[in-house]
Amino acid sequence: MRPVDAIPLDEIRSARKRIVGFAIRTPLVRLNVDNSPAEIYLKLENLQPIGSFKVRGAANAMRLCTVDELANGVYTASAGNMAQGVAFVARRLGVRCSAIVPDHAPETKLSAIQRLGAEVVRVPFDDWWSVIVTHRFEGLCGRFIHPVTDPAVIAGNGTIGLEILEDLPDVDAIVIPYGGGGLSCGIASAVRALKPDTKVYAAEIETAAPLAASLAAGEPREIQYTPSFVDGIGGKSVLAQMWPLVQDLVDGSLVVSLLQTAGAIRLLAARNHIIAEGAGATSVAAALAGLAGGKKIVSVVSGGNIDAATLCTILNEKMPKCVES
Amino acid sequence: MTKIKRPTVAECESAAERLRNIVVRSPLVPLHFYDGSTDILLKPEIHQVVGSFKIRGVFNAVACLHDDERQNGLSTVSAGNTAQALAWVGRHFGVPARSIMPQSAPASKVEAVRAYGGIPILVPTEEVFRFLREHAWEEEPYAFIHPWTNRDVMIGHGTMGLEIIADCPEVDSVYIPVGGGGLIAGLGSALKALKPSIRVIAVEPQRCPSFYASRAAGKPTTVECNTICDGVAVPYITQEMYPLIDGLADDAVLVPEDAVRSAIERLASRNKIVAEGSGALATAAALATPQDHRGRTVCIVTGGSIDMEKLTAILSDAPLS
Repeated sequence: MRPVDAIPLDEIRSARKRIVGFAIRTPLVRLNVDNSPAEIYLKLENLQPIGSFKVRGAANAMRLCTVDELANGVYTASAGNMAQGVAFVARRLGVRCSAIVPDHAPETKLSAIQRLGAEVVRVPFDDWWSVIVTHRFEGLCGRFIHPVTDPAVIAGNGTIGLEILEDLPDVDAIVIPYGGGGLSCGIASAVRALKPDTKVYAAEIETAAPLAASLAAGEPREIQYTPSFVDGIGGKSVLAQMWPLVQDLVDGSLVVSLLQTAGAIRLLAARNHIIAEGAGATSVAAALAGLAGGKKIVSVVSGGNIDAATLCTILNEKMPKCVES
Repeated sequence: MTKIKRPTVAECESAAERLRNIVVRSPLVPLHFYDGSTDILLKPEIHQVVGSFKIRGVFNAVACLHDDERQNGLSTVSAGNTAQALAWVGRHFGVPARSIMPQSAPASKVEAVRAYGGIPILVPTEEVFRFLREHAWEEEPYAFIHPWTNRDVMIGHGTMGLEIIADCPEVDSVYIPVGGGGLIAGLGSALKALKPSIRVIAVEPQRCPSFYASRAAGKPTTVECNTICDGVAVPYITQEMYPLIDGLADDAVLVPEDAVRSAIERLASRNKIVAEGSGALATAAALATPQDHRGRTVCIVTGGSIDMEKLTAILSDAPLS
């Protein structure tokens, strides 16, 4: 499997035109907090139609397909935000859609995907991981949209970088939740092309921080993974295909605790009046902890798909129990 | 009785210049639905620095004062959002800001006033309305910013109308919550001036229907007020505001408390926006109206300052959606 290349600026600019009508141009607002180590701004991707940035990449990938390519439908491997993103765009385009999910994915996530008109295909976790690694699934025909490595998906993600630089031209650092690396590499590609002195940091959760381990070791490392309420990011390892690009584009990984992340979720709800999921709040937690420095920081709030019970636990200043993800 | 002249587009445009680096130009966001479209767009004023649209009117009014008026210090009467805005604006101009607030004001709003450097003066609710009725501010040395009859406040709120028409020229109906009437007076005036065919819908809680009752009676009327929408809990429409609002509102609708709670839940779970009760009113009213009665609709989500305990109670009670 070839490593993923850097995304040219032209492709990100073209993606921007393609995703109009599917994704919205989200606002950039100041984090409303007293005693902050830096001037922190929020890029509110949780306000997208399906509650996360994934709609951008899904829309760009599908709008690039020909009618013939879409005739057999599309499918992706995801129980979460990517499945919703692809399903949302597919329904708009009148295209059949399937989501391959690991068999222990929670019912609430699956019913959300089904309500968007997609079919859910449950497989054992190892088979699901194999789809992520090989980009192939025997049981379905149609166009496979990889949730992370598809260059069109990464270019769609990169449109966020264009918007950030327009709204805050003198941004010093951008902090981006790191799951597979598609969001970080997309934004970093735009920033490298337009304003290379801006730092791009990944944010990871302490219970599953493979990028931090890999950057420290200088090569992809597998780590001991612990499930938590932060279920949108945090895998066992960095995808080998993504490693050269990530290593080149990302200036470091900022690792935050579950406690810090829960605190950020509460702050965002109480002071900025928006709902962030665990993954989406890690970037804010990192900036608040001073890990991204003391100047102008943009934290990407990547999504808001947190279930009501977990959200209420956190807002009531308790920690959610460890959940299987 | 002084007749209040409608804010003009020119006045709102001047205000927009004053507000340029202060106000977030909140983008219109579709109300998200799994099963198709409702043709409802939200204007999320929760993104403003004090969590509500009040910053528009309050900043404009304070900016329009002479320096020596401002130096006396600022004062207002408020359930919470105007007080927060005044505190923030006072800090911006380096002058003290005080606000008479009902003791029942949400703790989060009172804390926020203090956090911005303002001085909350908590009094019983009857005292709040006595102060307003008797114009008690005239005996005080401060620059008093009336929360709704101040014309510069209305003009500041009217800047929202410029944004709505620019972002959605095809808008048919705009749903606007009504407390004292300052928002609908400013925003409604701007909307009608820019697009006379637009329908302006006044929305109130069923449990505080002061404008609705006034319109039914043909004159300003006082009502009982007991609602979770603390931001609009004004039990009367004043003599000078009534003709202004009556002339602007194409319809007046009421929302029951459980529909408010349901709208708060929907805005949080689908749009990831935290709205307070009065902030969710417009959305609740639009959802209760068939789409072909309202066309392309904009709902103002006026504020997001709700105590976390109230929010979690609403989110926990809701059925899985």
